Amino acid sequence: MTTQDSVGVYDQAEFADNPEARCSIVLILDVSGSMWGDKIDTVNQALLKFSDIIREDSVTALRADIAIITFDDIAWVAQDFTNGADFVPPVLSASRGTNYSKAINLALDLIETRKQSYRDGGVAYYRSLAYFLTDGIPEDDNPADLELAAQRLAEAEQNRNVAFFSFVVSDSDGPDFLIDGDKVDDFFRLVGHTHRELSEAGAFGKGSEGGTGLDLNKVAQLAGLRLPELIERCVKQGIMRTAITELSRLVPRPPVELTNMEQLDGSIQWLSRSVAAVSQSQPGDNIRLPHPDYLN
Amino acid sequence: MSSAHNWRVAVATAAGSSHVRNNIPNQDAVDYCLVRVGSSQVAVVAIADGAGSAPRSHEGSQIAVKVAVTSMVDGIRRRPPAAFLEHLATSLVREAIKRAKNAVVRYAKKQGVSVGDLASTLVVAVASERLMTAAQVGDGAVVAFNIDSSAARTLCAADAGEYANETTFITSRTRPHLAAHVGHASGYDYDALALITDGLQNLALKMPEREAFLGFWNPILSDLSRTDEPEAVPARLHSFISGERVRSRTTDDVSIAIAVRSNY
Repeated sequence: MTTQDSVGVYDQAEFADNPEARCSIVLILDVSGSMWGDKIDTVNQALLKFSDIIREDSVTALRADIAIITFDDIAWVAQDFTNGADFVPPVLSASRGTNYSKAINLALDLIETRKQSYRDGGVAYYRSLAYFLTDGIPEDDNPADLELAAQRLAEAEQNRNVAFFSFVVSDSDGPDFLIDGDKVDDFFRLVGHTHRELSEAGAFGKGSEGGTGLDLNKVAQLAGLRLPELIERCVKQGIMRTAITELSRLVPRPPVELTNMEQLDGSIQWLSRSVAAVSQSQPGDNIRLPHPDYLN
Repeated sequence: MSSAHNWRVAVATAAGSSHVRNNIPNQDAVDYCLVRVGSSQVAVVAIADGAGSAPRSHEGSQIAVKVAVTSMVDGIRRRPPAAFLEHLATSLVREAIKRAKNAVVRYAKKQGVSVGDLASTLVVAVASERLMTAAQVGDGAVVAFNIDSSAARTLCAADAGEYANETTFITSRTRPHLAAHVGHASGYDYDALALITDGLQNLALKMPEREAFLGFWNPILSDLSRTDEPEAVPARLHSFISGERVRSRTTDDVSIAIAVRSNY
């Protein structure tokens, strides 16, 4: 009997038709009005690359189950869980407000339902990943909804149901922010200029939609501060709320600020590489998520 | 005196494609020994899967299987009924896990490394003409077969954690031998025993029931039990588990140990 013949003995061996272990990923994408333009275009482009990267490796493609939730005033499932091999991202467009709690709750609902169906089907699975992208401060109808969603998310992280990564994209106007009406005077005091002085210096020129129309870069310049310093002080004194400070309060993992479209694009590439790392991990692996090089 | 019982054992282990790609050694280890008791043989087998993240788990798994096999061989020589009676066999396999862990801890100290660096799972089994007993810490599986009737019974196939990339290691428990899952099968009902690491689990078992998928096992069992050259089986087994068909289905290290009994 030659070795060749002998190896042939096991060619008859069949393999059990067990489903591949799954890694579910939910992308939760802000499609409120302020995302319109470059940001939503970048997201759409990045999603196409995301699906290419997932498909580059056949094991990752088989193991990744991807869903997309979009949110503005409300949140909806733009795409239910689809296997990485079949994933074609929808084309997103942007309008209206920013409701975090509906988006977070819908994502957690979706993940729970998915895991239950894995368990029912006897499919092994990995911890779910969630990617939350926004560019605006929360405009939830009821602040209590936001607290409840945050609490639910904290529990889900604690129970290791999900690894929830959040990102805030800001543009050249600076980050989205809100100054409550009764804090306006405190704000002028802090920057050391009156409303009128700022107005005369052109700080109200740009008029970003929905907001105060205040150009924070300009204000920081007039106040002799760097923009992050200005924001930090305003936030510390309770004068200003920004997307990043609001989100920091709500999600267990520190949110990441993306200051340009390259970083936004990079963060979605990072997610696809993270999916590959998780979905090929084995017991005892310390999963090293890829370095967030998009921030460089 | 009834007929004598001998065992044919074949083992093979191969690095997974993800380990080959990332230049990580095969972290699985497998070892076995045949012990003569009276006119018959007893087979003892151990198989271990080193933790992916532990830098020296390939050493940890090697130590674990060698010490576990030695421990079971010593135990049987000292007290032959250990291979025949459930309660004695249970002590035998638990003792093997305990000694394996202690040896790994000692080795870690001597080398000045953390015990966690040597983390591995461990599955051990002893098979005599009357009894098969297996104990397991972590994942992987042990299955008993009756070759003629194509019957199979899973002795151990511990449920890992909730997630596919979680399990328990002998080094991550204070007393892994007490936490181990122990299973038995009667030697009168079954005449073959197989151990696998979790890399083969999805191919060789029906999940989630964790029952043997006979389409996988039958060609291997019939080869080992019928061939005129049992010494050639390990090479065939190795070609099979390191070949493209298996590689395309699992990226993990894969190991297998099979023992079949023959009466003559």
